Amino acid sequence: MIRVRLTYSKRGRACFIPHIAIPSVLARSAARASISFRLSEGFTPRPKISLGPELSVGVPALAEPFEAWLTGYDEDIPRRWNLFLPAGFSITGSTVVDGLPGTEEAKSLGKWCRASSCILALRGGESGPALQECLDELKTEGTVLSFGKGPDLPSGFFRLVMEDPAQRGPGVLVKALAAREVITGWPNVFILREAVGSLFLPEDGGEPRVLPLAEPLRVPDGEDERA
Amino acid sequence: MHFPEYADGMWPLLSDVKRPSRYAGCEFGSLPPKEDSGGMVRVCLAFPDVYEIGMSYLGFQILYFLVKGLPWADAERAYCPWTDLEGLLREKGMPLASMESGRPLDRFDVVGFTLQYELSYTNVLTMLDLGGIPLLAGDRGEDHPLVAAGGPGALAPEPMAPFVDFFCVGEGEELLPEALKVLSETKGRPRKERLEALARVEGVYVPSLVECDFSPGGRGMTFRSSALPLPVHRRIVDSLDGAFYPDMLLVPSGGIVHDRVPMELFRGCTRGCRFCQAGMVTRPVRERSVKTVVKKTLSLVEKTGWEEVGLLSLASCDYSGISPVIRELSAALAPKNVKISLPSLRMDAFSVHLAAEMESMRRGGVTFAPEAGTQRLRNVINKGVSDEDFTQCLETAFSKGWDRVKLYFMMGLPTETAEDLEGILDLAERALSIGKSRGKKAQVALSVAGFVPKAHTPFQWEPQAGVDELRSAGRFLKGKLASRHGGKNSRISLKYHEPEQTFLEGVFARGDRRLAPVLLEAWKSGARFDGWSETFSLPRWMEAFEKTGIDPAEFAARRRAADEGLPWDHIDAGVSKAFLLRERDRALGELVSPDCRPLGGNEGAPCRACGVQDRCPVLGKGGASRD
Repeated sequence: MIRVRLTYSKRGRACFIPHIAIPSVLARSAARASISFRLSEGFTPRPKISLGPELSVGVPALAEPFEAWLTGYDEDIPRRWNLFLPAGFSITGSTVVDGLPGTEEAKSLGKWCRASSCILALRGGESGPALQECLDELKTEGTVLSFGKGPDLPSGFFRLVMEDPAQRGPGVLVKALAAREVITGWPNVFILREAVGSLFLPEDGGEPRVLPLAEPLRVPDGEDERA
Repeated sequence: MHFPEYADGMWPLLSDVKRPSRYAGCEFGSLPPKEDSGGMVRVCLAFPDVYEIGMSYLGFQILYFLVKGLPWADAERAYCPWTDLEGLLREKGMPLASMESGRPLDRFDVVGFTLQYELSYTNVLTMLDLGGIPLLAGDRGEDHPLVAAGGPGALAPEPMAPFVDFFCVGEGEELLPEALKVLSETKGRPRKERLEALARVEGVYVPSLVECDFSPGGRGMTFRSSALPLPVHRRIVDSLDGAFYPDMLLVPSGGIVHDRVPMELFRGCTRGCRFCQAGMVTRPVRERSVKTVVKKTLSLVEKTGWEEVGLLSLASCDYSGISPVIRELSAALAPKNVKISLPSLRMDAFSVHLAAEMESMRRGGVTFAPEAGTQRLRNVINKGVSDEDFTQCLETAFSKGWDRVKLYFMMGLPTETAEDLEGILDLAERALSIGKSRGKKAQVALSVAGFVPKAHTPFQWEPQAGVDELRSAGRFLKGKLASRHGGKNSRISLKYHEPEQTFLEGVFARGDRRLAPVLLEAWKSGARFDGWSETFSLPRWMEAFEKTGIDPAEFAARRRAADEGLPWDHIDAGVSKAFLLRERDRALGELVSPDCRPLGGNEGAPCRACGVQDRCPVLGKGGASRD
């Protein structure tokens, strides 16, 4: 049995597939790819998969972590798995967890998910000073650890880092923005979760970053082997 | 960085509706639209209910891949948006579009609906309207798609006739390639000419080419046409082994109702239950061979990754190869943790033994359908379940470990009396006592639905029980249950269907073209998803009947004379009227018509000449599929 930590992306309309359906999406695609799982115990054994913190419906993501307990592993598995995932889903990273039980390395996935980074923008209007002001407030009150306009982002888009993704997901952000009347609700806001993982605080005082929990797969841009 | 989701115009709408996964697509197995090299007929398979219901329908899985495989046609799909999304689409002026490419419905050559049940008819209108297609066939121009309809509704098509350009009567594998070929060859020709060409295809009914003459007083009608021969004969495939069955299936990512590999074992049923339209109109029985079932199932499990297989038919335990199929599939699928399930169980020990072998069936309770509470009434409806069968079946179920039993019944059946209703409670109590004798603290759940007489069945001439009558029957049962046990027996629960929907279903099940204006009126005043209790409103419908001057009781509540011209007389479903009349007479005489199929060592009763005997593999007490 091999414990593998992977990340997946959920793009386009796949963002509307709820978190609860993800284990079955992953298990069925793995079955199609002839990747076999260790089964959970109990009356109804299922492929053993553990997901990271819940992602709200409607939020696309680039590197959501999950763990799979497989009966065997080789480096080609993520590529094979990708071939059989439905449109909108991709495996984006993979790392074998080789820590012995009880060691730091072997602790559960949830314990590794310390922070998340998101891209945020308003829909149907300029992400103007009101949003900036609101994010300042959220930073002051501790909901948001940091935010900024990255050079890789279009105008009006912000990158945010938040701690404790199990408690502070995109839903918390939407509630906070709605409470401050920056938005009326989900239809007015765009959120993409870039990564969930460990928190990296640069010693030079630079912006905090979130490190994904699996080694990114090297897939050249635009390459998709799926038929 | 690039964010296509930010530019998606549907995103704000989907983020504001219930269950947006219904509209997400993200299926494994769907194929991209084909290039049109000339003569390509683009078909949108339209299911008039929500995605999770429509995706559970095997017919579209078959037809999608069948059409995809035709060089002259291409298929995409659309489902009815729930009322919240319908409202948003209207507000934003956005059209209903296909799942695959987002093509609006009015840009297809054909939009083909399946009419699975009468209470979905208003959803057909919603989909047409949102798709930018005029509701009435007569209002459509040369640039509009042809609107087609198939499924059981096409066998009694008149209430929908004014909205539909052509009906496909029968099995799509047989009929659709031919009809689409005609449409490909006539692409670019005037609409009327194309419909006339279609009408020459056996099994195609073009309502605009058929006149309906009502007899004085409006009861009874005759059909005539100079353009096509009547009646229109239902098309069927002769051999399921030779018929198209897909090598791949569409696998959804969000949950659907029946989330599994569907494997159809056979079509048709010879049990002859007199209330059952499906059992009558899918004759003759045609089995897929054990070899094909096993091979196809294993291949589909591998290709789809589904963790469950449903062995489907009207009565899967009647499949002559059920034991070898389960044995072979279990041996191959158990190591892969793939479960096998049977969607319906016959009331006999064999079926229960079979189910007990399947892990997926052992979860939860076990469900049976005695349908009527007394032997007399079960004889009337020809439900071949004796008191001994009931006892033996329950004894086996409890001895195999089940302790929860669900029993389905109907109320409002022809000749029903209070004694028959009380018989339902007697059976429930008997089930409890059998459980007790096996040391079980059994739970019995009774579910009682109102009976709807359907076209092409022996009860097609019978009056349907009214709303008040059905409600009284339901209350009678509740009251009797409470009085028998002083309201203290929590081991028997009883639910009965509210009769309003049953009533409306009955009106449209045996309706004619005069109901189309009612449908339109009700839809205009907001009727949507009438099969769903949360959206159904009978007052809205009664208002529509009143506005259009139509008395619904004329369609549902009166006994029709045997010689009355029926609204579906121009459709030949296979079973003959003479057979149906004979069966009705036997019903009223409380006579059972035994199964003509040889099963379990039983030779089978003599052929009753139901109308399909010339194509019946059972008649020779064997047939190719049994080899």
